[in-house]
Amino acid sequence: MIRFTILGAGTGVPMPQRSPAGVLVQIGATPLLFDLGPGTIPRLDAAGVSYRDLEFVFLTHLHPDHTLDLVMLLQALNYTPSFTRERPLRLFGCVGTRALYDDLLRAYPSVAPRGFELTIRELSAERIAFDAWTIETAPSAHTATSIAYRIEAEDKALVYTGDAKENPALIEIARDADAFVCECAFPRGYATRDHMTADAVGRVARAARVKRVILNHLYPPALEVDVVAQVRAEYAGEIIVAEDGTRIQV
Amino acid sequence: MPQVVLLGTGAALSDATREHTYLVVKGRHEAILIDCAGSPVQRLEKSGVALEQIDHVILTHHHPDHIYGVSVFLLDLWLAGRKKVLRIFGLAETLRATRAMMRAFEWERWFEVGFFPVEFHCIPKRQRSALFTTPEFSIATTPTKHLLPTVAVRVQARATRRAVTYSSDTEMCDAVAQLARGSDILFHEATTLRQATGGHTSAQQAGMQAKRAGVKKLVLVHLPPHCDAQKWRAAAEKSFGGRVVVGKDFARFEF
Repeated sequence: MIRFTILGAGTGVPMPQRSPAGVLVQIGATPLLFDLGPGTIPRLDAAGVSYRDLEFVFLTHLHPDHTLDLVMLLQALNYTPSFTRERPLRLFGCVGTRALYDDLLRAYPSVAPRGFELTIRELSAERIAFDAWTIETAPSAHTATSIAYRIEAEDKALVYTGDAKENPALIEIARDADAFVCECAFPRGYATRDHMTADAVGRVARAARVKRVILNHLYPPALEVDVVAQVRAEYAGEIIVAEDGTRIQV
Repeated sequence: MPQVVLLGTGAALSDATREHTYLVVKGRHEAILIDCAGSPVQRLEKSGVALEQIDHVILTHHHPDHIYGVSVFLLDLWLAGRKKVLRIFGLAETLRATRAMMRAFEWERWFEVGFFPVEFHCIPKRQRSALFTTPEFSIATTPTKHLLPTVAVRVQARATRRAVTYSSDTEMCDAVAQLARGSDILFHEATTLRQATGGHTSAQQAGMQAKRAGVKKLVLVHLPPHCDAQKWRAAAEKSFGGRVVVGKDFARFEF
């Protein structure tokens, strides 16, 4: 069983009740955090998981609405009264994550890990097996290095695209997923070079034969029209519009 | 013949004879619930509407008297064994408030015990916007003039092309009259008798709206506590010049 909670269903555009990107995935007692948009760490707490218990963090790409709380996480791990972090923190991300981390430490030297180890591993298209789960990545075509993640555990699969652009690798990684958390940035017909429109989401979901699609990362124009109907025109399965706090299990 | 059943006819402040205004459009095989107050499941049963006939719910705005019944409606559908998807239509603001209300009941946890899928469809803020079509009905909406974003709803029977329009809450509003044009019946709010108040319509003004729209019959809904039906009807008839009915809970209207 995989449980996941949308911590931020929004974008870099300030919107009421729609925060920048973050997805909590829980496999048994293990929390995995995908993306660290601003405010993700306190919302993680509201979802019942403390930042103290995080060991695995994954970044899809390096835009601020997906990464700003990395600094806040490191600060919190260093400076929470009567708490000492000892377990290592494992940070995974697209190519460029290491450079971003180094830049952040130059800007905020006080957040350099104290008393615990931080490992960074950059991913492009690969598959990594952990104890009870595996992670697979593929290019999401939003930026030159951005990646989508597939998380598998106990015969269930969840795919989180981060920001994306319709491309064959996205269909491949989403194949037969039980839940497809897909960017649905804009409505059909909206001119965009590096984001998903609702019809593209529907096409990818149909081609990949996913069991349900969760529309995520909606910009304001996508909230003013019936994007569900636009996805439905391409895809017959279950469609859910994510909001902050949307919680699903597969 | 398709019919409208008034499940409630009261304004936000109501009395013992009226639940808050909401209604169901009933066809041969399907039914569309418009707004959701009071005790929807009990009232639908009393109206002869089977729960499985309802696949579409339209919420006109997010004042509590129009949406507070959604939480118990969803819960009851699940308890009654629903498996198929339910589609809820509302303006972005309405959907946001409805989902915030559901979150207050921690409904995310309901899905962990096998809740049926609920789809939220955003109504665009466009005049006379075609919303959806079912085998029996076509639905269109238009924004009204109310205290917060609100839509009026027109339901047309595809077989006969006859239509009804429900104003929801609004001041005198040209767009509502235009939406209602050619409808057999206009269900219009009449929160006061003659004096217009902000965001609402009087019975007299509802009559003017019915006249502008050229409908055959005007049914007054969203009525205040202990309203004198004869006065309401007389005021509306005077400005309309056509047939006026003061709505009562469970009244039926074929179209």
